Amino acid sequence: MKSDFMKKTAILVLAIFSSCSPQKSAIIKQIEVRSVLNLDVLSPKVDTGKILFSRSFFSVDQFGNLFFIDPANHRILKYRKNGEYIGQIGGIGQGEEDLFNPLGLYVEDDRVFILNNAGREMKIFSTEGDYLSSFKIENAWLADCVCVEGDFIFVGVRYLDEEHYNQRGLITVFDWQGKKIKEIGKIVRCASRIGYQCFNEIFMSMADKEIFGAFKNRPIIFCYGANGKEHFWINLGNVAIEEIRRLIEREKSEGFETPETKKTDFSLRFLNYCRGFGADEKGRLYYSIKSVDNRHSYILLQFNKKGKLSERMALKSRGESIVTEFIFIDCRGNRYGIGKAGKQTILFQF
Amino acid sequence: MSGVDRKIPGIEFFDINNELISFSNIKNKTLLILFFDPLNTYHKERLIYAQVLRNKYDSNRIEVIGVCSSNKDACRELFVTGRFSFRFAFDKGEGIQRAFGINECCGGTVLADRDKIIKFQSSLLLNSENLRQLVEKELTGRIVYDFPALKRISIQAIEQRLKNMAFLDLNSGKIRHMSSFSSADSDYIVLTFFSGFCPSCRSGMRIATLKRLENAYTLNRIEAKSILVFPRPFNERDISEWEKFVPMPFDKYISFEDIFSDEEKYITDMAKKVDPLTLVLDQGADIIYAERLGLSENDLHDEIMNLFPKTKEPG
Repeated sequence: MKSDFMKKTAILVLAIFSSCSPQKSAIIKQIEVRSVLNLDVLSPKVDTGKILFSRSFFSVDQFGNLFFIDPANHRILKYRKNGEYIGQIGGIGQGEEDLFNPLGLYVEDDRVFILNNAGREMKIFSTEGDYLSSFKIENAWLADCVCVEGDFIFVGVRYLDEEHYNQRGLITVFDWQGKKIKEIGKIVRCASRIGYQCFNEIFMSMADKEIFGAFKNRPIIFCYGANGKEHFWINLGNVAIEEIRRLIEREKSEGFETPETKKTDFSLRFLNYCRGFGADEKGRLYYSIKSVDNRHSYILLQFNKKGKLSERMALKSRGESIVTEFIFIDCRGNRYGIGKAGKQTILFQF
Repeated sequence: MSGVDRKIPGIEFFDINNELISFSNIKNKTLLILFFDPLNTYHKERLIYAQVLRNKYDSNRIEVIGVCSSNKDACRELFVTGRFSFRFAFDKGEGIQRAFGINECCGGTVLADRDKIIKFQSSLLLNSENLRQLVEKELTGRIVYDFPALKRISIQAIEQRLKNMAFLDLNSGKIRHMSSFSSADSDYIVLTFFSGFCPSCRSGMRIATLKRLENAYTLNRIEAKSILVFPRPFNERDISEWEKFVPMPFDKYISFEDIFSDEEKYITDMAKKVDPLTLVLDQGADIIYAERLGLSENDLHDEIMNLFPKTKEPG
């Protein structure tokens, strides 16, 4: 009887202790980033207000040169890491060497892959700016997210599909000649075509021949093998993550629209869950989201290779919180971010 | 892009003065065809810039033709009031649009070279800066970037002009100044400029955002009011027309005259960057907030709510 009492007491103490003790993932680790460049002072100027709309507007080549989309002038700007301007690719027009409405880019080895004309066309240039080839992405409504791995180009495409949009894949795989290999990945099924377009915006990142990604406007992360095999597709709404839970509550209480909403026009009001995403060479995922404590600041959630939350990070630059809008991890594993620190928009490494 | 690298279609049509326009008679000139809506503020501004380009390169090097397919009276009025020296055509039956494969309601741009080969075609009427780049590239072979912007003015100057600017109060039909709106009606005015007759743009979302803001003011006991501002010609009757597309849930709508005068140039400057544009004014009609480019509707809501001190957000 006595030993039974002792056992129950021990369990109770252990339960109380464990409920009071913060889990590792609940602690917000403060990280001071290394500011690489103040993007507001680049010349020619990078229109950070506009590029932050895109989820694939920045890339880095093997020498650390930086490439940005300049959407207002329909070109790609190339800078050295110190901010020195090197040159441009494109310029308004519809000739081979021109660009019109570029929405996404990715640099792989010595090639620059550009989703042109709102993503209805892929153009490939050398990193020196020479035009190499192009191909059409048939029936695309919008494609704004691209990654390249080996012989394959992975593009986040939303299609102009009146009837069968819910049967489309999330990512379309092409070879370098533009031959469509297949559509892979699971979309968020929607009650309207407009919902399909809005709720299937994704961030995408390649790491060790796997495609990691996050939906911008739904609390979902995913991982596919380059062959299309699903490794995970996790609805973070089913996982105890406070930041996600708060957003879901807000979505309900303020009547934001969801994939279930039946709408026929573009007046959808929806919440952004993910504000920036990247995967490093070890398959660790970095997911930027609004902080619980302050709706005007952001934290970075780190997930492990299996999609389990492992850390929370608050990024700071000289003590100032960063609103992280974009994360990019280059071929050498350098982790870049773009975000606002105070009034400045900076490119940083963390 | 379907028309690029093809010869322009061999069609003939009449301009609004009933003079024949035949593409085959246009020789050794770059041809710029602009499809526009005469009631769209942005389209009007772009046509004016096309006139600037035509003046710069003279009519011997570039032929500009404006084509509109709706509201012939407004098209004619615009042609007269804008003192355009290039021709306007009214595309009755949309035959010209079809010939170029342009089937959008929101404008279009076609550029053909001296040999009448289409070099650029889009179902968008390009903004002024892009029109400049496109034309200069065709005519000079290069694009000059960092071109001096059109007139830019300070926020203080905007304030001054806004205070002195005459608005038509669509509810009362009276002409008033912004300072009288702000002091009489509210502690804060949230002023949103719309591009007029373009309900398909972001207007539905913006109106929903403004309505959310109004609900939040009520909950937080903030004396603020949202006012939608339309360029003329916009009158009270047009509000019911808008309601066919989007709800118009506010109790005050205003409209202003001729946005192309120098005095009100700031609006076109701003409008080039964002559509629509929201300003928050305090009781003295001082601008305490101007919408930044690229803000989402949610961020705009949060930023405006954040302006008001010592208040608590709902929820």
